[in-house]
Amino acid sequence: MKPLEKEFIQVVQEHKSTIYSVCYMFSKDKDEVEDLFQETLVNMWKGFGNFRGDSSAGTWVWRVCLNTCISSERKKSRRKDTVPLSMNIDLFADTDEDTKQIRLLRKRIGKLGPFDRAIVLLWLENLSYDEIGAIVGITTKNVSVRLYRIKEQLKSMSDQ
Amino acid sequence: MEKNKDNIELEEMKAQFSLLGEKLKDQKIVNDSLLKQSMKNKLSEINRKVITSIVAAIFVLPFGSVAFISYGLSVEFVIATDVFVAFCVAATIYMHRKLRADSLFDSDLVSASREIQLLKRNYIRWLPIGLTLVILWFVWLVIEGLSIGGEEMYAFMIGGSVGFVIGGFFGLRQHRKVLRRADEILKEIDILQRGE
Repeated sequence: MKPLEKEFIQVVQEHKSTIYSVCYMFSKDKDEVEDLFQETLVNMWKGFGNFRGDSSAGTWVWRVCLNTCISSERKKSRRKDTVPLSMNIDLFADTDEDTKQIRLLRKRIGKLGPFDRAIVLLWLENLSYDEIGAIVGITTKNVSVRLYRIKEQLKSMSDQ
Repeated sequence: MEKNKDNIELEEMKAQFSLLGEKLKDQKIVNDSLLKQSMKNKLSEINRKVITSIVAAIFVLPFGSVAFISYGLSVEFVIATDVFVAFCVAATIYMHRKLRADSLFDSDLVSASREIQLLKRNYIRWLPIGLTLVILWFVWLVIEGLSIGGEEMYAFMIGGSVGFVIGGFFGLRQHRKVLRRADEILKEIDILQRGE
């Protein structure tokens, strides 16, 4: 295996949870998660040759993942070459208490627009406002303003 | 008290997100066939629409030229058609030049979206020019077709008209599809910019 391929696999394995979490928050069902996940990996591979430490690997993964999820078209049919993910849990169907909590979170975040969803996911990941701004492409001050509005919006959802 | 309750709810969300991470921690998620499938895609510098345009042009140019000449159409018309098709292909490549898969997704969200915004502007500007040129070309085609004479003229006219309608339908459909996607993203940029 070529060194670039080994490096790519290592990055994917290190950040697979992040990629899945983001794809999960932007999907409505299991098929869509698998599609988005693979789409993200394809886009990561396409850009991997050019990625050489301008930002941290984590930041780059977030960028590609969010860009893919926000830009993806709502395909009516699945990709022909989609490979199923290796999971023994189903976050859309499992009925344990933890999964129900996770689904509740997805439902709340799902009501936000794509850009706001991206920002709130980065906030939930405990990234700093600077880091969020660098990934999304807005100023730190704008992140602060946006997050304040998003939090108010989320609170009003729970009051309904 | 209210503020405390709000903070608790936000902390709950963080806890739920953390639960998601915990659940995923022990999952394999990525298998060898998924990795191989993802890496199988060749790094292409132009997207699918541009490739389709080039392939169509490669097919249309020689085949179309030979067909037109065999029908007895003028050399000027054949050359003008070839130039027109080549110009359309070049314009498509130019408009899509910054939407390279190997760099677009690496940039921040706003920059990536701005490139798509620019694509939309170019598509909107191009439509009246393209339509005008296509209509002029079709009128010239009809004039050339009338000079064929005989029964062949009718076959040529019917074929040409059907091709014009079908081509126009698919072309406009594709155009609208691109604009619709771009509009969705522009809405988000607008909301984002209003927040600045």
